[in-house]
Amino acid sequence: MSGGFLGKILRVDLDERTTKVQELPDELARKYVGASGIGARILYDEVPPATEPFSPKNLLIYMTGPFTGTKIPLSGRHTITTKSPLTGIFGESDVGGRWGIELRKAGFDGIKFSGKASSPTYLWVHDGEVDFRDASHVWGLDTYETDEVLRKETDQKANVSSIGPAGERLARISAIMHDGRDGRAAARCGVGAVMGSKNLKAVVAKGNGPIPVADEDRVNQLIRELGSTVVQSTKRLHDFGTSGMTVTLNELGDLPIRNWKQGKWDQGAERISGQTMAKTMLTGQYYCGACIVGCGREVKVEGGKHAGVHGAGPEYETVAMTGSLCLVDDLEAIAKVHELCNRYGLDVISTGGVIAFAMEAYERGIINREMTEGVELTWGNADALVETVEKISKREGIGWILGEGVKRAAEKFGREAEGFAIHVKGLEMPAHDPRAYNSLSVGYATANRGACHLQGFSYVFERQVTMPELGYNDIQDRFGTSGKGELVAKTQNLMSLMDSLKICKFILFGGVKMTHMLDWLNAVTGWGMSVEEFIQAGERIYNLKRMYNVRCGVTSKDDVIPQRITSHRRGEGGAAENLPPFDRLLKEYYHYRGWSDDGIPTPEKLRELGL
Amino acid sequence: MKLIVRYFPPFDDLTGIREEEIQLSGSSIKISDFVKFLAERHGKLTSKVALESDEVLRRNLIIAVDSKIARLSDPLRDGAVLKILPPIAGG
Repeated sequence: MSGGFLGKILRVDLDERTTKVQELPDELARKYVGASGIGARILYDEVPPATEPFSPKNLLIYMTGPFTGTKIPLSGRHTITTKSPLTGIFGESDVGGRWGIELRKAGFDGIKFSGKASSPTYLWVHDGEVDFRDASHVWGLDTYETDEVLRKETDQKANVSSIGPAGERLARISAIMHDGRDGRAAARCGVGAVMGSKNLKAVVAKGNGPIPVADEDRVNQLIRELGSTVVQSTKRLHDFGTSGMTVTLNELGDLPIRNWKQGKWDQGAERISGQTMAKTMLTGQYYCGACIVGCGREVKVEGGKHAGVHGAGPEYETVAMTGSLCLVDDLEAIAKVHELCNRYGLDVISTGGVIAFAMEAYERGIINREMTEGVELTWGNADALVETVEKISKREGIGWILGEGVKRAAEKFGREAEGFAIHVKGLEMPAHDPRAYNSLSVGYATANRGACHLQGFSYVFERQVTMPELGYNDIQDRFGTSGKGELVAKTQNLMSLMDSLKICKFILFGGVKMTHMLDWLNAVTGWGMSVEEFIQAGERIYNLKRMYNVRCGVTSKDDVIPQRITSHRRGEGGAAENLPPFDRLLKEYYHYRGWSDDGIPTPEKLRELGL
Repeated sequence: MKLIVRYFPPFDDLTGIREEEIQLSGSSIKISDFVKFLAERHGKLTSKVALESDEVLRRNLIIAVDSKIARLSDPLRDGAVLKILPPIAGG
């Protein structure tokens, strides 16, 4: 095995309580680069499309990448891949923190779980050893509590990946949480519910082994060249976190407001911003492993009804999805909701999306106070927001159906509810509005896991980032109508690489370009990979995931975005009148991809990619 | 040329003002001229401004005119309202 990989994937059969070490061939690693790509290959090969997501036959795959655990900045990350119970198609969730580093130090590049434990179980992985342990005593505990208990009975320096009560109760919008009170979330696609369906409460990792790097001196030299630029260029991210951009996004018409109906919210945006957080509750910054930015928030609420909130603080997605989307401008309540989502193990994006949907349903009289058991689900009602998060995590009353996600909730509510259920393929839309960036409409429609801003990240090239290697020497026009299909395809391929290498996308804000990442990859692995091979690997990974979805029945009929986004002009704010010309952009995208008009990769394209 | 400049957090703290009216002399004034003026006028903003490219400037601050992110090469019109906004970083 070359540098970059240990060459070992741990196979865990929860039915039989057995483990086996499976070799990760160098050829496979090179073809699929790392975490996201290899996870997708395993899912494609071993989980047939008809597999029911909660079936023991579904796999839960933890994978690291060649950068995880090295000195490459912003690389403390791993991916969790599965067939999603929320969307019924390819599902994955990417997460930072330190857990992935510990897994590699313990001797494994990844773990794949099959089967279902007969009783609550956790896995303790340490320096090449693996123990199955009873988890009955932590079943029902939240993720912060679970972290404390399991580190106490294994190793205080271990890292814990666990579900909370939401995952145990199979809420389809549940997350797998990491690093305890630091609250790192693998949140999207309901991965927590798959873990719950396997009676697997946690995976605890700790190790002292080396991470293989082909040319350590070269890695050090490359990092020295860029490190200070990255730190300097991301200073605002350190100072104010991701929610430091809230006011600016409100100005651009990007901030989602009132379930995607309203165009601006000036005073509210300022009240929920990272700058307000810094003045009122911020106590420090959190750094994932190998991070030199520190965008994570540490907060403490000292007084008022939410006193006691302490730990990981709200990110931009939290303040937007549970704040502006619900018209809640009480930052302390938002911090409380963030903590509840972390503790219970809920995807804060989906949670905010489904509550905003419920608020609109309440406003329209589709649901009423009787159905909410007395909760006044009115716009801006912070108490109702907090209460509803509690209900979702406990699956009580209306919380049961909301925990199923917005698509299923709309089907249950009936009437016109599906018209304002904002999702793609069942995954709630995150907090960036395609009416503010035309490329994002196609990005959401074609993201392999459903509505996702990070699988393409094309919109950052429409406001602040360039990438000369992909032909983008200048920042693109966000309201432009040509070349968007190509932009989305190229950036999706690039993000597939970053998700596989395991490097945080925020490094793009530090001036890092694609060729830097390729230099780092070659220094870590010794592969000597060319730019062409690198780009093609990204395209291969993206097409492989697409083919998994095609086998699940996905075609162009599913590559859609909500009608509200294509037909409702908000009439105010920074994107007041813009509607993305979606159909035309999607055709352009298929054409550039070499896919048929039905959105299916052609046999020629698959052959070209070695699939 | 008369311009209205609005400073959003944290730039209101750095400049000590929320809004001001300024005068720039000369014709065909561009955003890059305004950026130079800004750096000279408010010492605490000097390290935040950059003229080498839009990409580098936007790592530190965003200048919006009529809800559009301004480019360094954009011309300015008399009476324009410029908003000095925090940079965008995050997902």
